[in-house]
Amino acid sequence: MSIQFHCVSFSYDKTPVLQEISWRLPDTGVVCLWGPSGCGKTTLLRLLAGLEKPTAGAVEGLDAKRVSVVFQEDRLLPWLTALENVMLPGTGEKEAKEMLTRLGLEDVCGVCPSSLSGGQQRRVALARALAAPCDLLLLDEPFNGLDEGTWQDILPLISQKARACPVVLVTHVRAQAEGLQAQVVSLSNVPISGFLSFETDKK
Amino acid sequence: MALCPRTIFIMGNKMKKPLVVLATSVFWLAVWWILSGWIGQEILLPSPWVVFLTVCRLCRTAAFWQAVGVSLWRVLSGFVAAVVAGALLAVATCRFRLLHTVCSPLLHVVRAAPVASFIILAYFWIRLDVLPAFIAFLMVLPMVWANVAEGIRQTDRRLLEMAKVYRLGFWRTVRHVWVPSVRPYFLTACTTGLGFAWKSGIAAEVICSPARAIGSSLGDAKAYLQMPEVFAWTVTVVLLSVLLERGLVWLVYRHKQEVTP
Repeated sequence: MSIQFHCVSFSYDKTPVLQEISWRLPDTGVVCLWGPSGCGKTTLLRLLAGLEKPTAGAVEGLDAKRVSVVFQEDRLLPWLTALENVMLPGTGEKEAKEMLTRLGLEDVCGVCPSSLSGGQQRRVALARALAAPCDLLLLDEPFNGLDEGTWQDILPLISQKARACPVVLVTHVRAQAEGLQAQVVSLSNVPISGFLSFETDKK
Repeated sequence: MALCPRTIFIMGNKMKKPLVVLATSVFWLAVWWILSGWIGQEILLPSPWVVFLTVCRLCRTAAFWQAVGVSLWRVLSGFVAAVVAGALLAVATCRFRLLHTVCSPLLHVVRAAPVASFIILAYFWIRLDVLPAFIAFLMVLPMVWANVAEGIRQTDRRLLEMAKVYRLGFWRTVRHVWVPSVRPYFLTACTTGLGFAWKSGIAAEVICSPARAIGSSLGDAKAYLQMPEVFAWTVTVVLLSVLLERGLVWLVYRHKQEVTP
């Protein structure tokens, strides 16, 4: 069952952010939410992750779906090693090691986050999300703190994931959306309202 | 192996520390010795040597070890009960706001009131041999409660969200997020609480004189103006306090790697 927003409204402390949004996510492929800071992109991701409940309307099709998220912050457990962090969502040791290796972290599997650089921590957070079995992948500015060469190497892993499940990406770098051949949803006005459509549909 | 200047500095510091402790101890023992010689009355201030001999004499009696054992048992049982109850109460008051509102003033009163008031009050309510344990319990409970509750409040909500998104479930979230977050607060409460438990428990024994106890022996020595014994029992209390605290710190942090300063 596809994930759909049905007339979803959401407010933070009585300030409306979303007003009667209707939107249907594709079953596979990457969707990029594009727009200025504070326009409600993260709120849409939080609703999809089940971390917020709509003040009106409903997000359908999320039941029993496993969601993987790369948050704006790394959100790694400081007392676990990189490998243990990647295994946390229930990923097997073999798969976790494989993903860390693909992200160039094979030498730091047994190291705790505080001893890793900012870029390495980011890659561990990405490895956790990409290695976890999921039906929906949410990426909130996932390449923060990574240089272009590094995120270019990671794009194919996300594309591979997007062949099996929908991926929603929030980014401010157009090249990242283009590299993933993402369908772009441009958001500008706060509160966002009405039907959300992809840029390609408008043309 | 080459050593960097910083390593040599740290090693130098580590070697110096016992020497500094020894030197200051010798200095204060000398001050005590000189003062006792100057006063010249054992009933007011016995010399360190007399106190040392008294400790040695007490150590050779079965009653001494019985008193030490019974006092330790009483204080430690009160301490352990307070740690368990304080942690559970913290979880409950953080979970149920109403319970927090109801319990909070009571726990603040217990923290603010002088320990002697509780000892005197409890004297009329509780059996004498249980009273020191109860007083130790009462002193440690608010400390553990406040610290653990603070640890729960300070737990990173963002990590809890991550645990929710990845569906860790209740027990894995407790194991991987709550317990490691609260642990430092809990351990601080335990290490400070043990000292409080010991001192308040001994104070209760002094005031209430239960049978076979360090505090009772201290009280008896005071009643008979046996100043060397008063000092000897006080030295015993101090030594046991240091041993208990060091023992607990060792027990708690033995798995932790030494952090380079």
